[in-house]
This record gives sequence, structure tokens and C-alpha cells, in this order.
Amino acid sequence: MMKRDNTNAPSRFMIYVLLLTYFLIVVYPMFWLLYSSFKSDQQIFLDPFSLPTHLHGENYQHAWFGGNFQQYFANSVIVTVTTVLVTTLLAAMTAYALARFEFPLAKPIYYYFLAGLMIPVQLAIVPLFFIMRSMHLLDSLQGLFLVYLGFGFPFSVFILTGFFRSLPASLHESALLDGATELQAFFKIMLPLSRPGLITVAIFLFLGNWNEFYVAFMTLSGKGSEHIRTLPLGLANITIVANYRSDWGMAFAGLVLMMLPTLIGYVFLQKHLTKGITAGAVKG
Amino acid sequence: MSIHFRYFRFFLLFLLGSCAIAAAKITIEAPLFEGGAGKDFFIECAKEYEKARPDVNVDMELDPRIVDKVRVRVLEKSWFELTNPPSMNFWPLIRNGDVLVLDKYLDQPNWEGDAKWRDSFLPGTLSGYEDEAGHIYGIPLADYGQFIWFNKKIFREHGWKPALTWDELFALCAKIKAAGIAPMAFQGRYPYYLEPLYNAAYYHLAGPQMWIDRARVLPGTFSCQEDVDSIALVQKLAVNYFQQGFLGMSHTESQLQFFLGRAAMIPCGAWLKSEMLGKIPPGFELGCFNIPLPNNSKGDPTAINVQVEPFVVMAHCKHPDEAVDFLRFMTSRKMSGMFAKMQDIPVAIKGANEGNLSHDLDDLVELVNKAKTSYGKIPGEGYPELDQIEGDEMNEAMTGAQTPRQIADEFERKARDVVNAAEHPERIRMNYRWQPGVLLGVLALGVIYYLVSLGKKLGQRATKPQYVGMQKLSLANLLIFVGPSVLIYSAFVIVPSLRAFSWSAHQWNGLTDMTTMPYVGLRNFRRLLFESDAFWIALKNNLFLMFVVPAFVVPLSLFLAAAISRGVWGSKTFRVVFFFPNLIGGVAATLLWLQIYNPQGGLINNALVDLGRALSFIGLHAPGHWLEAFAGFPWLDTKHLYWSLIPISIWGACGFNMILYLAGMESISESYYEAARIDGASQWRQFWTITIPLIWEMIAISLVFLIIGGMKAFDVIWLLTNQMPSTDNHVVATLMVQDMFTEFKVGQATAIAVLLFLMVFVCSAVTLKMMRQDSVEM
Repeated sequence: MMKRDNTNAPSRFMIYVLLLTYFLIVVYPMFWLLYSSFKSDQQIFLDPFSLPTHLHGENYQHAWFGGNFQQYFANSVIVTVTTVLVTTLLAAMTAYALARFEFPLAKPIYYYFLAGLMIPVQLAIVPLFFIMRSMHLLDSLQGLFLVYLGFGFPFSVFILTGFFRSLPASLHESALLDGATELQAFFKIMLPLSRPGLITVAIFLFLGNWNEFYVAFMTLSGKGSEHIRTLPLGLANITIVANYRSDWGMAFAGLVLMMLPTLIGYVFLQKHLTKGITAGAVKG
Repeated sequence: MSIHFRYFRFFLLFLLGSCAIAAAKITIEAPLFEGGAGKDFFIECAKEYEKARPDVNVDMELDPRIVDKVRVRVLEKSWFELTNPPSMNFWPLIRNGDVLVLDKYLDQPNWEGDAKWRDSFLPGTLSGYEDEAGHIYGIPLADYGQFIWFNKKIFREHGWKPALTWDELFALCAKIKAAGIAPMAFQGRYPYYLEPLYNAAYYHLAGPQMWIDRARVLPGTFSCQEDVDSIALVQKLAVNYFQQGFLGMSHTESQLQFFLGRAAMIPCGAWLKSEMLGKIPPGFELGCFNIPLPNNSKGDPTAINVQVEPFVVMAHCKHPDEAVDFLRFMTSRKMSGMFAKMQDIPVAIKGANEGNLSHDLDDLVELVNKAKTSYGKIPGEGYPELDQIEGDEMNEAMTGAQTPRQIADEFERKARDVVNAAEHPERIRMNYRWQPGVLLGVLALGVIYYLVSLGKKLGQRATKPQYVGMQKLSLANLLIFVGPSVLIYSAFVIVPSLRAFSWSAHQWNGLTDMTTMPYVGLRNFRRLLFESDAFWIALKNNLFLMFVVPAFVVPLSLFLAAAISRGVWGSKTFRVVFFFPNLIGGVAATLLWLQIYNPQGGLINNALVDLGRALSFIGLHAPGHWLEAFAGFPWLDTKHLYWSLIPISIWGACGFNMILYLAGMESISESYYEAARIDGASQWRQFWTITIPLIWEMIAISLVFLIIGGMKAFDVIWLLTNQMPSTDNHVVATLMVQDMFTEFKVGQATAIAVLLFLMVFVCSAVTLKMMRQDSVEM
């Protein structure tokens, strides 16, 4: 942190006032959401600022059981965790091969992945819908997982290729001299060494997929999809339903439930995350 | 005889049911719309039916947004037995042979067996899906007449009487307004709630025949004086007498206002009471009257504007006969009577309403019994595109931005475009000339610039030293390391993307065989670029998100970063907390803001009103002045939506950009600042001459993110408009989804996708190239 605070007192005061104002703007809506989620529908609507006079924990009960939230939550956890793990692993293997080995198609493959950074998911989604229809992958978490996987590669391969290039070659060579196969060398030596890069990629994939709405909306709206919908879809649905039935308490509670995991995770992974953003941006 | 037949069937079924317990049950799958009427009836009805037919299992899914799922299932071709989403247009499916013709079933006896099924419905209610040849495709249950509802108690206390004509209605509204009560609450977030009033005015002014002609878009039926007069009537009502803030209110919000006694009347369908059950204060007395008549009505003065929400059976489902039988059961007097009783909604079945409706619907029953005719749907499809146009025109009418004549002429022009496009799909109207030229020119320049710099780079590459110390990889290892990712990436990203280019040159509705879609060349692109208002409006909205939003976000993020980088007390906390909104993600943030902007119970309006009251209390603000006028302000209506996005964007994006700038600022060597201080440069000057140039790269990166984000925006718009953006609120990405799922224009949707891709590609490629020539160096 830099210390060059030689500003004069009045302007420092002004800066403080502005920072605190912005702090309030950021925090108050979330705080409002949190305490409103314990209010009755009537009280939310008629008296939005007041604190709850009586803790309406049943809002959470409604959201979790009645609003099917528990199912959405489990689905999101399953898809996000498998996507993050598998994308990171496969991307690391590819990036490793591209960064440290010489083979005829290395450069074209690298650029092939890089091209994906330019492809918005909107370009692919319409044909993808019909391709998935013919593969019977619509309305399944597996299908969603495969799409997330595909669209996660360009960014992950790009970041991790840069990362593997920066690792010293000697470690890998000595592992091979000790008689390890390429796969063993990768899993035992190179993968553990690249942990910081893997974590950066994993955090980005997590945030992207945990909150993903568009692809999920397009591919999980058909037959039998009620039981496999993810949190963003479920939450959007709950909010709309809440507006039909004026069940605001349930919608507020659902929102809190969706935000909690990321906010809690953030408190623990804060350093990695800010470092990751910078690394990602500088390299991207 | 038919009664015997029925009993015999029961007997047979009973035998079958008891003999073949192990036999698999027939399952009728029914994704149904859960509207104001709720779920209970359908669950009960299924239970009763399963009792009557033990071999059948009714699998229902009830959801207010079932239409999203039904559309997808149609495109998936995962056929279910029956459905009823009111906001879905089934005509493309009917034309494609996907909806079952019900004629032969209607000629069979009804469930009771005492009449032909066809004759057991009230007149006019079978016309929901009736084609020109008289074939019927839809079965009604509820009979949703359109009325104006009023608060009987308030009316009685003030001695007011229901209005029969528009003149009486205006006089009534003026009296109510003078008494300090809002005359009419209105569901302004959904302009189509105005259509019944407008349609009634047109029906009576122009007469029944012209009313049918208009639905068939005969020339002059929109620009005629009768239409102008109809628009003028509803506009006068909306502008003068709708409750303050109605533009921002959803249906339930405005209806709650009515039941809380804050407005004396509300226009709504017969479902009003049922939809608001549980929110109606005890002792509330509900009354209704027919939509008023103009002075010289050419129609039947007792006519009721009726809307039915028919149930359709899918032609390719597994058990069409059983599905129809279930509908026959549902429309029996007993079951539909139960519906009427449970929901307090009149039904379209003869003899089922009597004794089943509450006193709140007495007025309604009287009007229905008095009515000699009804009007609503005309036989045949008409033009479904008119729905969106009509909704947009209603929006124009109620905001008062245009005169009735302007609205009518615009309506006529757009309706003609719809007809022309339907009759001559190859003909494109040149509504836009220079705009497509500019867009294509910019795109071409971008591509050329990109290719030239790519060529230069490739030229330089040859002279560069090769990376040293590379090892060989065996083919087997290569396949293990690179194979899976290349395979999945190709299948789910590259192949569909390439296919999008090919599809954009075809015309396809997603329903017919994929291999036979006709090639239409550049027609989809020409229609979008030269003719489509919707596309250019959407693009203009994207430009707003791409350039106006960053103009707010970037300076504020810079300020925050500069302030924090000074190491003020608590800067660590600020850094952590300011990033919160980015984490919770677009969907959660949007839904949170949806509540914050709620016109009635939301934070913003209440804060502004309270501030106004506090200021006027200490004498700094005239009571009831502009701050307090924010009560009920519609932040998210069509007109204000995009400016309301700026606070959301600031809240949601500043943290991320701030962290980027902070990273840049922290890598600047302190010695630059020391040197500047020795030279006597002010803080401000240091910021502009040292900080900004040295973090310029970060600013450029953040701009690219913001611009691309603005181009691709979907979630925010989609959710803030309740998944139904009006034409004026679409962005390119939402327009694409609408073209695909709502209008089944798959070819045109991919053409939009290709244009979107080109714009994202050119924006990002050019900016990145300009920023650093070798950012993607191998």
C-alpha cells in the first residue's frame, strides 16, 4: 500500500465523506435485503425502511422448501463444482502441452482456443440448442455442464498457458530423469506447482458459472426441467411468481440464500480474487 | 342413449382397472399456466379424474411462466398432451399440424352425456382457436369478460354511480379526482391491459364488421377516424385519471392499490378477485360495470369483450384421446362449477356458474346474462405480430407522448409492414438507408484494420527467435493432454458458431425438418438492417449501454481507486466491500434492484418522499413539491428503464473497475510522485500527468470489458422487464431470444447472432490491437 497522504485536511475530509457515502450506497441495499427477508409481505410493502418487528423465519422455510430452493441450490452446486474442477483440469493439461512442448499443431491449436475469446455465447446458442436436441442433451445438467466446459476453455487455456511458460523447465526434466512418465510428471510436479494459476482460473469459472443465466435459461426450460433448474433460473422464477402472488418475503429470502455462498467464499479468498482479476486483465 | 354409453364405458374401465392392476398407467402430461386462478382447482380436478379413470395418471406442472417452457418444448419436440399458456400463439403450430383438431370430439356427447359437447359452451367461447374453415382447436374453461371494477363502498359514500358512456365515465372520474381519490388504478407495466378499453371503443365506434376487418388488417382500418377517436378516448382517460405512478406498476401492485382503497376503479378481466384473494381487506365490496359506450354505438350495447384462454391438445402426443377426455371431464358442469366456486371466476360452460359465484360477482353475472353477443377473437390467425405493435401503441397512448392521429398512422404503417412481410417475404421496405451503411462501414473498417495489423504481426514473427528448450510430445500423450478439450470445445463452441453463419442465410421456423430449410441468401440481414424498427431500436439501446454507462462508471471508479490508493484509514475494508456487488452476480443484483425500484414498496421512492417531507418539515422544500412527487414513480417503465440502469451499473461495476485501476496505481513507482512534488506539482496535476498515463492500459482494458458487456447485455433487460421487453426496451440479445422462441424465426435469430458477433469481434479486436500490439504473443 502506498503512503503518500500529504493531502490537506479539508480535502481529505471531503474524500472521506464521499467514500463513506459510496460505502453506504453499496452496503445498505444488501443490508435492507437481509433484514427485509425477515419481514412479513405486508410490512415489506407498506413500510420498506422499518426493521422487522417480528422475525418471519418462515420466509426462508417457504423459499427453501415451497420455492424448491433446496433443489436449485443442489443443482447449482453440482454443475458449478464439476464444471470448475473438470475445466480447470482439462485446460491445465492442454495449456501445459501447448506451453512446454513442440508438436506440429501447437500454434494453430493455441490460436484455435484463443479465437473462442472472441465468440459470444449468443452466436452459438441457437444452433447449439438444436444440436443438443439431437444429442438428447437438452434439459439435463450434463448438457449444461458440457456447454459450460466448452465455453470455459478459451479463457482458462489462455491464462494457464502463460502460467506454465513461466515455470522453470528443470523440475520437469529431473522428474523425467527419475523415470516418471509425462502424465506422472504433470500430475506430481507441474500441477502442484501451478496452484496459484489454477486457483485464479477456478475462481473465475466459479463466479461465471454460479451466476450464469442465459445458457441455463435456453437449455433448461423444457421437459422435466423443473427439477434440474439452477439457482439463477430458480431465483428469477421465484421473483416473478412472487410478483404474481405478492409473496415478497419469499423472494427476498431466496435472494439472500443465493448471495451468501459467494460472499462467504469471498471473505476467505479475497486475496486470490483481486490478484486473479489483475492477472487476468493484464494478460487478457 | 348416450348416458348408457357413458355408464357402459365406466363399467368397462372399472373391469379393465381391476383386472390389469399391473398394467402400466397412461400418463397425461399437462404443463399448465398458473395465473391468478391458482393451482388448487387443477390439482383437485386431476385427483377426481384419476378416481374416475384409475388407469390414467395426470402429470401436471403449474407455473406462471409456463409459456417459456412450453415454447422450448415445442422446439425440442418433446410433446406433452395438453397445455394452456395464454400468452403463447399456437397458430404457427396449428398450421404445421402440431395441434389436434377437436371437431370430431366436440360432436360427441359431453361428460354428463346429456348434450353434444359443442353445445355445452356459452356462445362465442369456442372461438379461441377457430380457423377460417370453422375447425376448432381450443377448449375454454374460464370466461374472462373484461370490465371496469369499482369500490362499492367508496361509490356509495360519495353517491357515485357506474358509468354507461365514456362521457359519464369522464364526469365520474373528475368527481372522484375532486374528492381526492385516484379515479383509476392501472397495470401500467403491461400496456396490453389497456387493449380491452381501446378494443371496446373501436368495436362500438366502427362497428362489428370493421372490427373483424381490422383484425385482418384491411387498409385504412387503423388510420380511420374511428380508430383515432378510440385512441383519443383511452388516452384522455389514462393521462388525466390514472393513478399517479401507474406506469411503473405491475398488475398485482396496481390491483393492490385498488383494494387498499387508494383508487376507486380499475379495468381488469373477470379474474381480478381470484388473483388478489388473500390480499383483499375484509369488508371490501366489489362491483363492476361494462366498458363504457361511445355516444353513437354501431355495435350491440350489451356486448361483452371476452377473452378465453383455451386448452389445446398436441397432435403428436402419446395419448391425445385421453387428453381430450380429461378436458371433457374438466368442462363438465360439476368440475367447471367447482372451478367457479373455488376461484370465484365465471366459466364458459352453460349452467355451471349458477349458485357457484360469490356476491362480489353479482354485477358481472348480471352483465353476462344480459349480454346478447360477445366479441373477442375472429376466426383464423390474423397477424400475431400485431400483438406487440398494439401493446406498443397502447404504451404510446397512455404516456401521452403522441397525439391519437400520430399513433393511429404509425399503427397503420406498422400493420401494413406486417402484412407485406407476410405476403411478400422477399420484399424489403427500405426504412433505413444511411444507418446500415454506417454500421457496415464501421464493421468493414474494423475487420480491415484487424487483418492489416495481423498481417504485420505475422511478418514480424518470422524474424523472432524461437522459444528454446521445447520438448517433443508423443502422439499418445498429445491425445491425452489436448484431445478432450479440443473435442468438447469444437463440439459445443466452434461447430455451433460456424453453423450459425450458415443458418443465418436460411429461413426456418424450428418446427419443420431441419434438412429442408430453404436458402434465402442475405434476406434475413437485409430485413434486419433496412426494414426492422425493432433491430435499430435494440441496437440504439445497446449503444447506450456501451457508451453512456461507461461514462459514469469509469470516472467514479477512478475516483474510488485514487482515494483508496492513498492508504486512507479503512481502505482495506473499502476495497473488500466495494467489490461485493460484482460477486453476487448479474441475476441476483438485478433482482435486488427490481425490489429497490419497486414504485410502491421500494427503497428509492420512499427515500425520496421521506427526504422531501423532512426538508419541508424544516422549511427547505415546499410541501408536496417535486421530491414528494416521486411517490410511485415508475423507474422501470419503458421510458425510464435505461436511465435507471445507470445506478445499477455504477453499483454493480465500479468495484471491479476500481480493483483494476488500483492494481495499476500500485505498480507506479513512488519516485515519480516525489519528483513531481519537488517540482511543486499539485495533487490534481500529479493525477493527470502521472497516474492517468501510467494506468492508461488498465483504463483501456476496463473500457473493452464495459463495451463488450454492453453489447452482450441480456440478463438485466430480460429480468427488469419481467421477461417481456417492449419493443422500445429490447437489446439485440433479447430480440434474438424473442425471435427464436416467441416467433419461431430461427433463421432471423441466427442472423441477429451473427451481427452481434461481428460487432463484439470488431470492438474487442480493434481495441486490443490498438492497446498493445503483442498482447496475445505466443
